[in-house]
Amino acid sequence: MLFTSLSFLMLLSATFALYYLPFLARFQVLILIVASFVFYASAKPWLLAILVLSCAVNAVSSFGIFRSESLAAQRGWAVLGVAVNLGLLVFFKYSRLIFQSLGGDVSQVQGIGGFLLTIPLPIGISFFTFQGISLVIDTFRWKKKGEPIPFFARTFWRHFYNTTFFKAFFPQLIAGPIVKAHQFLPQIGPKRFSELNWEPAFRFLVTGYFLKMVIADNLKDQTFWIAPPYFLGYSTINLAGLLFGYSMQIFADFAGYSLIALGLAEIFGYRLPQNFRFPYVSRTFSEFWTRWHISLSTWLREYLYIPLGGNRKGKGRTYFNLFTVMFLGGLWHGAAWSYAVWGTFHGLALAAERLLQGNSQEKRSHWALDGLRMVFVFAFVTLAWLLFKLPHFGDVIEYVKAMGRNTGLPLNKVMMMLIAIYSLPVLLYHAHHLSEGGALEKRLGEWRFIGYGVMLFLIAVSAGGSGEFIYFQF
Amino acid sequence: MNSSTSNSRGALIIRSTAVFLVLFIGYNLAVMVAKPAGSFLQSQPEKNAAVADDYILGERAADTVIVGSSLSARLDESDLGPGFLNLSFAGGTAATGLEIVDRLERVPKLVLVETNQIRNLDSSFVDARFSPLGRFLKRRIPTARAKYRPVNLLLGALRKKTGREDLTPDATVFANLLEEQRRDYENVPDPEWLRSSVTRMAQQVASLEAKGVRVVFFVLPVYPQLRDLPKARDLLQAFHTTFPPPGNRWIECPPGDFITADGIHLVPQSARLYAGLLLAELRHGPQ
Repeated sequence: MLFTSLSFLMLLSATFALYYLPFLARFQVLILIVASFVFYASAKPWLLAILVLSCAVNAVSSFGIFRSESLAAQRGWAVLGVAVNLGLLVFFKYSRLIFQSLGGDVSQVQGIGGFLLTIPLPIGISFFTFQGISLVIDTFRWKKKGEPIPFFARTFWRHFYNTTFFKAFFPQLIAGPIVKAHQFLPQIGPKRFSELNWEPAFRFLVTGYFLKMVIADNLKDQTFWIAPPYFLGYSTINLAGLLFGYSMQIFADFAGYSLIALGLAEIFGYRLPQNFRFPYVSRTFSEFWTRWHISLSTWLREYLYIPLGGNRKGKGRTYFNLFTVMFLGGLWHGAAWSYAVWGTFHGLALAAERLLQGNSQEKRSHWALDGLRMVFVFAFVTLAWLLFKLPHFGDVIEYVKAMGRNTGLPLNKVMMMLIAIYSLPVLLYHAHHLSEGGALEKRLGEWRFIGYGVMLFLIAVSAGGSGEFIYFQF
Repeated sequence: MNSSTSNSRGALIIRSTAVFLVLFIGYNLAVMVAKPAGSFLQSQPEKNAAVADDYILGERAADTVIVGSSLSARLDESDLGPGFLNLSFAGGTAATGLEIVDRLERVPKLVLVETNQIRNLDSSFVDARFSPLGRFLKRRIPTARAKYRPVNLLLGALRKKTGREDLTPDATVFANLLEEQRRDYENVPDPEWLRSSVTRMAQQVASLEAKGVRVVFFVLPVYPQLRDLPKARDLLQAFHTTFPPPGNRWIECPPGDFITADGIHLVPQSARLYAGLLLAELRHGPQ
């Protein structure tokens, strides 16, 4: 069920109405769980079984940690919880890739093996599995400290109930933000209509729907031509323009989704973490990863990079850790080696950047130098998105070759104009960040209602054909 | 303090909504009054929707309707004459156009069915076009129609003076694209799927003929090397078996030098040439 569909708006309206009815106040969490299950099961009802299984695994293992007195038992439950979570993820997402990488041919496998290898990917599994792991590890860490865990229910069934809500809450179920247990569970409690934060909800929803429906969904119809064999017939400038457009599209699509998720959570009284902070103004690759898909990068830092030793175990180990985290982070995005290569590219860029910077704490800053750095980071990031759009290496290589070869082909000016028109708001969005805190921003702040009014107007009259969110496939 | 903050926060929503209403109503009124022509549609899905909407809403009547895929979508109505309407859909198939023609009460005199491509009927596309709420809104609110979107009108105005470009494809690019098409045409279509798809079309054709519509099948020229490959061969055979000549009228692929952009899609000058031949066949061939 898409956030942009009529069926979702009907589900949302019904849920919202029931949620704030005074005589149903004690069932608020239950209402959201039921709505989340309806949301998740709408396309393939059987997927609900996997979600419930995942909730049960995490509730049992985290409660096992909570109730255990010895560190060994706590560790045992934690290892079990993480292993089962990863096992589910590997089974449903990567078994086909592993089988094929070992030389197997899926089409030749008959019977139960063939069935298991062709099970479609349960939507959102990468996201809710990581949330489950965060619950298990957070519980283990708090317990190890010997302090009372503030977000933990005392009885198993209440804990199971809260865990199910934490993992299944529909605004963030399919594509994040990846919420950590310690961020979300303490928020569970009664919510009142009178305390609803209308303005942030309005801002998140209008900006999110604008980015998705007006920018991403319109750019999608242009970047469609990146697919083989169509790209072969476009000029070098068009191919570069298409890549630029895809870079804008993927930002608008994912940041749009995340903002809608924040707005939806807000209208039910829950606050989700920001997932994007103007990533295309980054001057370094490490800065980029503090601005792009923040919930994933902080998750990887908290639950993988730091446990691996982070930068505390020498230079060699630091580079290895960076590389490993980015490789696995890339593979998290999709069951294809091109995603791992994409992650590796970023890992190499981060390692190279660290190597070049050395231990220097000197921050040389000049607007022209900063501008050049921004362009360089943006160009690298944009080129790497090609691995997202074209999961087959052969196509990526052909695309790059075509960029070099098609210099003499005529320019498709309309395509370039459309990419420019729909990219402009994303550029202005980032430019707005650069002016933050300045006099211009203060002056414009009083008139921002015009901006929201214009966005509402464009949502109503210029929405593109509804398309799935790119990150749904992960 | 809280109350004033709350009021000022509510003010953002109220003011934004007011701006939205002014823009929305003002723009729609302006379009209603100005009735701008020459919109430029941005994408294939948008073009498909606009062509279907224009026909369904009765804005464009025609004696002859062409149904087909992106191959026949290349045929320009201005090359065919005022009585023609091209209801071909890029990425689609003749079955979708036939379904639209069949669902409407008013019917054309003649339907030309392209037989180069076959895909599943796009029911969700057709259902969306015939949704009562959608049709109601499209009749009353201009911006419910893709052709009145601000960007499309802007691009339409910019391109008003630009004619069609007669481009001959670059040799290397053409070779690469042709190779891709050759690989596609090497695939043997699933016989069961092919049979059921053509049978479904036979039901649509029978329904139209029962309403007095004459149906003519035609084959567009593609690159000669592709014509004998399994996809083209099996498809044509399935059509010929289900709609055998001479009981059914066929306009077979004409001889001649037709240029394609990628092996299957005619370039504008060749599409113009084919349109002329098609018209001649319809005028002078057996009725």
